[in-house]
Parts: sequence; structure tokens; C-alpha cells
Amino acid sequence: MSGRLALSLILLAAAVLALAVVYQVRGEAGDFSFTNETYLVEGRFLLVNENNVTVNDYVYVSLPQNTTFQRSYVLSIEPRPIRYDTDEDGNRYAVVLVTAEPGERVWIHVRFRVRVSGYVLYADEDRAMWPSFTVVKKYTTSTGYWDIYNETLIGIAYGEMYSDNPVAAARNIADWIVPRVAYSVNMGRYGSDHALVYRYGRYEIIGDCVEVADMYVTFARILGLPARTAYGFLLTGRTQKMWLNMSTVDKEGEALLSHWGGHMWPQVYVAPWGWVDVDMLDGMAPNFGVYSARHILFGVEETKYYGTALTSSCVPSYMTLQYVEYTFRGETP
Amino acid sequence: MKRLAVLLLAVVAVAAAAPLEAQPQYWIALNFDLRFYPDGTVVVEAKLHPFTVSGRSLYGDPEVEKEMESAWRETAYEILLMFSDNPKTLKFDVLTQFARDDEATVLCDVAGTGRVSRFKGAYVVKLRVYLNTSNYVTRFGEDVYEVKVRDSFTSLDPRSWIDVISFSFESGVELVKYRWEPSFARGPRVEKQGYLLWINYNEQEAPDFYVFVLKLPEFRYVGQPPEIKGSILDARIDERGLAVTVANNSTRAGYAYVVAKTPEGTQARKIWLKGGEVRTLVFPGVRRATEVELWSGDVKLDTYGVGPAAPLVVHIRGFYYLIALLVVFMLLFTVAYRVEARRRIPRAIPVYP
Repeated sequence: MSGRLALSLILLAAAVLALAVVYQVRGEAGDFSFTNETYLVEGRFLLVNENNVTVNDYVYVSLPQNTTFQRSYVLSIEPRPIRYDTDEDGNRYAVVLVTAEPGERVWIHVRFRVRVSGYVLYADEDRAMWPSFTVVKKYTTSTGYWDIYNETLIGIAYGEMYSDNPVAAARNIADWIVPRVAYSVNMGRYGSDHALVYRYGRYEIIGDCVEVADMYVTFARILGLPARTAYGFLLTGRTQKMWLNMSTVDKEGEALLSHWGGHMWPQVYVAPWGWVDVDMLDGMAPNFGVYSARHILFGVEETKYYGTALTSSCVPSYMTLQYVEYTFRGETP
Repeated sequence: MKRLAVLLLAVVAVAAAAPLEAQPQYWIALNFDLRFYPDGTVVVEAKLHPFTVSGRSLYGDPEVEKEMESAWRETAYEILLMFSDNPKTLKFDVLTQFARDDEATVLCDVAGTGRVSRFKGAYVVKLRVYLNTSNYVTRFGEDVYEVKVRDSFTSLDPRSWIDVISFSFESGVELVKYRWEPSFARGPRVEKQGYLLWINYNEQEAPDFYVFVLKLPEFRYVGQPPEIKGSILDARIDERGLAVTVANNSTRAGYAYVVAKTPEGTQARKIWLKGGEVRTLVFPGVRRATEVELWSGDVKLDTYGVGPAAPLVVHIRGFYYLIALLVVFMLLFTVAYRVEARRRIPRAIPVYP
């Protein structure tokens, strides 16, 4: 009888141990909670040939991307693309050939279906790791907009944000930035050397989402955290229409935000979770690993010294882009 | 061809290229000559010609000329970006900052019609670039290197491209083979001994990368130079993880990489060290490590053995599991013991007849 007792105990102990192991294995997926949403995205772009000659124009159309948290499908693009291509940072885009007589107006229509997994990452600092040498080298370089050699920024980063723990460091950066954002729509791109100003006795980040993202990426890279920017759209609801009239856009100022949601936000790489979104302007909060399903990602900037022009929705060569419109319809019941 | 007087760096808040008012919209034809030398230097001559899409030359237009001259530094950076992701790490000499060459000819397909126009006159920017620190150079073997030349204009803006580009290989440079990316782009129009010429009618035909395997007997590749001189003073496992103390032995500040080699793989940290600074940094959670390396640029500065197996440190999460398991064991044992004890009672010898 005592033999059966011992066997029972061993079996029970094995079951308990197995449960403990299973908990550890499912840890990385279990660190996330998800909110899924599927959108039908319809866009149209008006191009005009303002030249007095006929042009054969290659038009570059940005596409929603496939990532861990987003699946994208091209339903249609009219006129049909002659090619789908990929840029140096791995972003897919379509190339449409348009022939236009002088004065001719051409519409390009796009339809996508995009399934977004918004998530909340419960990142346990005890499990955080620094990445591999290859990843650190590739994603911490200095670029035209992310100047990691600016000694003022280095002083701030090491004085106020530094941590030996990568999750803590990533959070510290966001915590520092959020109360210092002095938001205003910026028609250019200041870069990290000009987006941070000292005025009224404190540092402020002037500009819009681009400047906030650039500052985060620069501070992260200074601290040795791989970081990049993501671009696309941030919706305010499940169904939304956005538009831009290119002839008036530079005069609109903040009014632009009432009908346009083009957006950029930073991502930081923290092992074992990978790229983590940090959209501080979604509710003006640090938001490390808090990513709403209202984001639609069209690409990332990783290595290019001057970023990319593909942040635009539609890039013609000879013709003039006059109007951009997107409609997003949430399809999840 | 590069489109100017339009915001190329699109505003993401606006996410579209917005036209600037009161500026002439014009394009620039881009013709490049690259000459490779046996010591691993390349002389790049950029010949630029501004024009309108109707084909009217703007060469000599005072406003455009002034604008292009003031942008010569940008052109120089675009040249450097043909050979590196980071122009700040490349050594170069400016041979011609900005000059007019009224006799030069610049070729370009003006409006994507498939016909090349010839423009007379060019604004010239000329640099000598040293490839020994380029991250687009890969050593293939004895004196043999792969050299990538990027169309940096396409890289920035997909609608821009180099219209005409020639590659000359001086005596002492052997072109072993060449290719281009993407494969659907067109190859060279002219190929002869020591010379290749691409004429790109549009961006789709233009390669994004021109890739050469070259024999360069006088070339010594060094990679990205170190920013500091440094050493590892200590590396040990303690209650925080792997703690590494490094010193910047030079007077200037710069970045270094600390690489921890552990049985689970490598972890790396990039850190800024002031001149003479000694800093201890921690890889949290690392319980075992074999070796730590200190790098700067592409140069390994120091290696440090972490030493014998680290003392047992109980990870707090593991500790909780252990306690939980012990409690479960104790409960199971208690229950089992009582059940067993009760079952023993009936088996006792009766004391009553």
C-alpha cells in the first residue's frame, strides 16, 4: 500500500511540474491581451497632369503591411498595378503606370481589408533581455532625423531615462516625453536636433506625431535600445472618413486633424517580445505596449538616413496629387 | 531624375507631398561618373541639369542656380549615401564643391516618353570617397571585395532615380563580375573592358543597387572605425545579473558595444562613454555567462572571461514555484498519510472475542 501511495505522490508531483512548465512556455503569448478589428479600407487619389505635355507617370501607392499584429489584403487597385515592390526597410508598395494628356485628371482607387490586433503587453521586467549584437548594431545607428551624437540629448537620456533593464528604460523614455509634448501640426520634419527646445524653464517637444516619434527613437537608440518609427493611420472610431485637399493643406493648421488621421509612432525592440509599439499620442499616455486596434500600419522606417517618401499615401512623379480620401469601415460585429 | 520644389520628405501628419507655393517646380537630371582606383577610392562626379517637365532647360536660371548651389552639401550627402547607410562614417574629399561646366552634356528622358533628351551644361559636384570604412563593402577573399553602390535617390524617394551612371575601373582594378538589383531592372547599355554604362529611362528600369565583385590589390578594408579605445575591467554574476565594468581609455567620448555570451545566446548593449569614464552596466537576469566582449565600430577592443560557474542565485519567480510545489507536496503527503492511517485501523487485530 505504501508503494501505491508513493507512486500517486510521484504522479501528482509530475502533473504539478508539467503545469508549471506549460505556464512558462506559454508565457510570451500569455503576456498579451488582444482586441481584434477588421476594416474595409477604400481610398481614392486624384492626380492631375498640370504639364503641357503627355506624361507616362509611375505612381507609387503605399499599402497596409503584414506584421505580427496586422494582416492585410489588397482587394483591388485601379488602374491595376504593373508591379508590387519592396523598399529597403521591407515595406511593400504598388507601382501604377498612368498616362495622362495635358490637363487630364486621373483617379486611382484602392480597396484593402485589414485585420488589426490591438494589444496590451504585460511586460514583466524580470523577463526582459537585451537583444543580440546584430539587432543592436542595425537598429541603433544615427540618421538624419535621429542624431544619437547630440550631447544634450545624450545627457538627458543617461541622466533621466537610463536603466539597466530594457523595459524600464523604454518606459522611462515615454514617461519623460509625454508631459513635454507641445503639439502643433508641422508641415516639415524637424528631426531630433530641432524638435526638442528649451523654453519657459523646461524642455518641450514641438511639432506633431513625427517629432514625438523621432524624439523617442533617438533617445532609445542613445540608450542602446533598437527603435524605429511606424507610420499609417490612427482612427478615432471604427468607421471614419478622412480626406486631404492638397491645395489647402498647408493653410489648415490644427483644423487638419478634424478630417485627417495620418500618423507616426515609435516602436522599440525588447526581447523576448520583439517590436513593441509606444504610441504616446493615442490618449497622450506613455503607452509602452498599449496598442489600440485603431492603428493601421502602412510601413516602418528603420535604416534609411533620410526616412522615406512612402509615408505619403500616393507618390506621383510628373503629375500633381490634388486630393486624397480614405474610408475605413469596421467590419467586426 | 530628382523632383525638386516639392516637399520630398512628406509630412506624416499630412502624409502627402504638399506643393510649396511661389516656387518653380522643376526636375534635375542626374548623370554620374564613378571611377574606381586600386587603393579602394572612388571618384564620383555628379552632373546635374535642372529642367521643367516640358523639357525647358533651367540651366543658368539665377534663382535655380543659387538654390542648387546652396544645396551642394545635400548632393554630397546623397553621393556618400551611395556607399554607406551612414555618411558620417565615410572618409571623403571634396574635389569640386559646386561648379558650372558649360560644355558638359547631360542625358535624361524628360517626361517618361522613352526618348532621351540632351541638355547642354551641368552643375558639377565631385568627391573622392574612401571605401575602407564603407558598410557596403564585403570582403570575399584575398584582395577580392563585393562593392555595392546604391541609388540613394530611389532609396529616399521611389520616384527619383539616377538617369545615367557610368563605372570605370582604373588599371589595377579587376572587375571579376557584376550584377544589379532588382533583377527586373535593365542591365548596362554599354559594356566594355573596364567600363559599364547604364542609361535609365525611368525609375522602374533603373537598378536600386549596382553590385560589383572587384579585385583590389592595394585596398585594405578596415570597416567602421572605433569611436573610443576601451577595456573591460570586471565581469561577474551578482544578484542583479551579469555586471560588467568597462572603461573608456581615450579622452574622447563615443559609443561602444558590450556583448555578453551566455549559454542561451548573446545579448548586447550599446553605451555612450565619456572620455575616461568607467561605467558598470548590468544584463539583468543573466545567471550564466562565459565571456564578455567590448566592441566599438567594427573593432573588438577587449575580451573578458566571466570565470567559473556563478553561485546559485534563486530567481524570484522560480523560488515562488518551488515554495508552491513544496506546499502541494506537503498537503498531498498529509492527506495521503491520513487516508493510509485510517485504512490501517480495520486491519488491526480485534481485542474482543
